[in-house]
Amino acid sequence: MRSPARVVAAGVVALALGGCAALSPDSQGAPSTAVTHVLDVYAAASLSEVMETLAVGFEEVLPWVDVRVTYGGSSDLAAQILEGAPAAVFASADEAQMAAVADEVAGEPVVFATNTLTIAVPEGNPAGVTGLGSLADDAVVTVVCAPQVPCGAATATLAAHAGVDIAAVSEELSVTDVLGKVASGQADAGVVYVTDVPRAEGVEAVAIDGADAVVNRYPIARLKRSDFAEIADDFVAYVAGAEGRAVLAEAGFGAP
Amino acid sequence: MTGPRWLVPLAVAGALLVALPLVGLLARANWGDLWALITAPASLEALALSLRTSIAATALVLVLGVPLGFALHGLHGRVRAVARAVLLAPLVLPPVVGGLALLYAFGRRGLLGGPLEDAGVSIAYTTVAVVLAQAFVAMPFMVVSVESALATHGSRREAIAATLGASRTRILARVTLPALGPALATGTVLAFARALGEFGATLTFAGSLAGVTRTTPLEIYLARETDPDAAVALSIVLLVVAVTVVAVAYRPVAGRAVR
Amino acid sequence: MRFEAQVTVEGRDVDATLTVGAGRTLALLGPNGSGKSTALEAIAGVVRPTRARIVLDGVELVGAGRPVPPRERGIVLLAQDDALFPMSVLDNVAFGPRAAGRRDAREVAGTWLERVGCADLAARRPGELSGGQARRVAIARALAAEPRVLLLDEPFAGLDVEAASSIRTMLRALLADVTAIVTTHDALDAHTLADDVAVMDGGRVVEAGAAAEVLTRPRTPFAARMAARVLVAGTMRGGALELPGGARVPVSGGPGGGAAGAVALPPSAVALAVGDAPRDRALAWIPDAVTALEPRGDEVRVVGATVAADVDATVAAQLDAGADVWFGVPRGLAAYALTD
Repeated sequence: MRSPARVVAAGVVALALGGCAALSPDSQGAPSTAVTHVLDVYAAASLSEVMETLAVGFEEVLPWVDVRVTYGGSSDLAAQILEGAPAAVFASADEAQMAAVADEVAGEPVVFATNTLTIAVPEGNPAGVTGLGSLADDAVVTVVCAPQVPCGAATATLAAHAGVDIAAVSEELSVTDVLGKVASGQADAGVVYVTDVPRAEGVEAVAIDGADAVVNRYPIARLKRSDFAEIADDFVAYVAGAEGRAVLAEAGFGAP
Repeated sequence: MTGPRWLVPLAVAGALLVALPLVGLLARANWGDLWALITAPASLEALALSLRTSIAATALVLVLGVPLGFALHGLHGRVRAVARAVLLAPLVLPPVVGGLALLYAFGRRGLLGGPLEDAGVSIAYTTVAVVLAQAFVAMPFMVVSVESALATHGSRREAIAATLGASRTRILARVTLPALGPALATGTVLAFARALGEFGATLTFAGSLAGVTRTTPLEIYLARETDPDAAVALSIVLLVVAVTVVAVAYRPVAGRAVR
Repeated sequence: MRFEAQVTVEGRDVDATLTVGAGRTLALLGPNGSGKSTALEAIAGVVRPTRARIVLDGVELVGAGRPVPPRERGIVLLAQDDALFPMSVLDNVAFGPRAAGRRDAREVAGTWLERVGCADLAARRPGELSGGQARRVAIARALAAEPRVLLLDEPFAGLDVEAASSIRTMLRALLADVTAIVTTHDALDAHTLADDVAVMDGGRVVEAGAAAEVLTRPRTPFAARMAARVLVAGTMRGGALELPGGARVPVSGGPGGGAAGAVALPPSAVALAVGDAPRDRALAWIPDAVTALEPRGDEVRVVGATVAADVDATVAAQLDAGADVWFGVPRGLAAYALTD
């Protein structure tokens, strides 16, 4: 499933190479397979699986590039970038964190994916959750993200939009903590992103009617401090382009 | 006694490794608003919860950890080595592992938590869960303090108290425990500090809800996202407590020996 | 009515049997390391004996069956280190009465503190006492527990001469009616405090009996040494003791001819001469050679194969080991039989 051959079609390779053929260190002959360039990508934790696939696909196209991805909470990554971390590309899980590093960004960030909320329940849905309304029931042990973190802010907005007062027993610090509590059966339901559900074992999704009302956008941008601006730009274009789109769609991310 | 000169630069590097981050924290503090940040409702709520739960956890550790230390002291050979290793494991266990372990014991589907849940008693997501998590990680400090104190204390005074006609309970209350005073104080202070700083096990096991389970470390972690100044302010409170506790707990106890 | 204890502690090579009559005091006399303290601690239950049989007033406290726990034996140990508890002096002394459930424990403790002359120390903590004061408090605490048998382990060890002397006088009065065993390495203590003496060597009791008998008529060189005496032993022949080397010491009394007999006397009463046979006819002279010279304060003990003498250091300075000497023993000392 991660096979780069499936992801990166021959035509795509030509397209990608079109913009950067001059970058080949060996412009006379065939591209060298020796890695000579390292591209540091800082990506939101929720992108971990897809970004791995995208990195491998990109390396197929430019074999002399090693894409090195660092994952973390978007706010942690933004903080590290502000502190001078050597990132060439930043893929954030929300626009606010991208805005936080605006001074470091080269050009305009591109929204390359979107995500919506869903309800994660343990396998078999023991509490019989049918929708957002079920989460107002005290008998349904519900966990959500704290309003201070992006997933929690989105949850709060969606709940307000739907007019539901979620009776959460815990406001977790990250979406991973929400998933963990649902997967372990500690909670009957948790509000997470659509893309989080396939990543977790023992969890299934209950769709939220009107989830489209709150759409989380994932922006990506090259940072000014990148050493190889062209490669970084190519990576951004690759992720935001058709090949990236295909990988992201398969993982459940919505189109921008 | 001082060592060779080349130790000095290494020592300085070591000191920097430890002290520089603390200085960094202090340097980042918004001193002008520090008091306002600490006394903000969310901060106060977290600090009050931390204080309540840590005191409760320390009390639990005293009530259970002291007998545990005695029991451990009473074991011999390999049995004692194994029992000690198990009982002290939370000391070195990654907190998140402790949280998982607590989850599978006291969680809604845990060994004990499951039957309790069926009986209508829920521990998860309550302040009790926080106290359990804190006691879990703090217990080893009391056990190890009591056990090592008993090892050096010996049992002569107890044996002589017995010849004077005292029951075991009287000997424990009047002879042994007073002699263990310094060790108990050290164990208590360290256990309290460990409970106060508990983060991983609480997060994994108890959850995070303001006023119920969101202790100061969890509030700090959360505040980082939106209000780094508040996070730093609360961090400084915990830093001051930590430094004070270590200063108190590791005071030399010379001159306290009883003739 | 008496107290009998047989204890074996294999780890420390102690195997001793002690008997004390009711209200009497037995001195367990022996050098450091002879197992006295271990024997006492085993009887008290402070160390666990390998085997033991302890009988008090005909009741077996420790023996074949389940032993009576130490707290119910009524055998109190006054340890060499005092082992005072971390509480006030008064509470220390009241410890036994309180354990016995006495409501007047404080009064009892106060009375005992007065008896040992420490009433003014009642409020102090153990760390605030001098060595002598701590010992007095420990004595008061032991006696306040109304022991049926009191075990005192070297009660004067670690005290300065003055404190030891006053506590010795005090104990002599306090122990008058108490069944007690007191360990000591000092013959003077045994003389002062004890009705009976048992001499201990290498974890075994080598000699036992009434204090006057054991201390003045020791039967072995070791017992004599512990009693601060020299034993002149030989065979009775015509009103004199014939020593193994052939020397004759005229004595009075003693067993019949051919029996083993001895006289015991303080080493300071033995005279010493060098050179030709001394002419002083008041003394019986025994030819011998120096085997050891032991400095003892102002004097030096000159030890020979048969006898020893305490002499002035200036005299001893002329001697080396192996030197030929004459030991002078007074004639007419009371002899006693060495075989029972």
